[in-house]
Amino acid sequence: MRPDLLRELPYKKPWIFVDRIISCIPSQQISTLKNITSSDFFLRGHFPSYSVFPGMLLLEGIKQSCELLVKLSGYEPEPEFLQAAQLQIRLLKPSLPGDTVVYSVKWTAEEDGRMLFSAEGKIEGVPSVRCTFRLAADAVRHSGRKEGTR
Amino acid sequence: MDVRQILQLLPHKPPFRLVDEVSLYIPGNKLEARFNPADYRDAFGGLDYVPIAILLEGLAQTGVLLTQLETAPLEEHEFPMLGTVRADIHRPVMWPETLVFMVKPYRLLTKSAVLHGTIQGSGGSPIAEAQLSVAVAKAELEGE
Repeated sequence: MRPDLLRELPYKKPWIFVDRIISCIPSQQISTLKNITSSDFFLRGHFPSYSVFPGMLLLEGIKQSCELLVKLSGYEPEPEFLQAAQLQIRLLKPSLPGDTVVYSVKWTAEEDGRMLFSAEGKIEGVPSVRCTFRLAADAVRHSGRKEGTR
Repeated sequence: MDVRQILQLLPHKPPFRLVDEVSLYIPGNKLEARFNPADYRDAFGGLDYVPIAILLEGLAQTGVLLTQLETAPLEEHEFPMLGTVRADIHRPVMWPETLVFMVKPYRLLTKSAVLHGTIQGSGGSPIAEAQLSVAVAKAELEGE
């Protein structure tokens, strides 16, 4: 699936941390990928003599995958989306140039109305990162798009 | 060690150095650092708010400094690696706001640490609270 990520994600380059959408079930789950290369802009400083992809940029990749899932489900993330949240992330192994991180994100509603995004990133099938976000129910709104309902 | 010298322990460099200055270090107790994100707005996406990844990375880099001060400096071919981060983000942050990162040791081991951290605006307004673990990893160099 190759929608125009630069249209779907509101960020300027180089702040784009999803290279492709592999699959999406609106309102349920999305699978995306990020290729890590030595030419990544932020690896100039992380670190000058050795390249390892920052764990917090994996977090941003998961966040952008969440935004894509919301948009492809017929919703629009509010500008403050994920700016007020409870989150937990566990980084299991370094992500290095040459690696492809495949993210799987699931979106569920909790009993108290909040939204829960659960994500896992894998490199060659081996988990490299796990993450959960809890957000207020009003962090998204209907966009009028017809891709899905919730 | 003088607070002006402490920043030299940070292996992160621009465009991914998210600490401008160390403002306070009390050995065995806490480290406080500051970062002004405004100059990086375009590189960090260009939207209205500072991404939470940047907020938490700045806090983690402050933790890398404290861990080295309380244990040992990074050796050649070593790099810091984040383990687990649990965070409550209280509010969005606009770009002109100066961030104040404060970390305290929770548990210190030889090459790792569990830390408690807070992020505030320059006026003391709370932004986030987190527990994070930092460890030292060895670079896998070709030919070794």
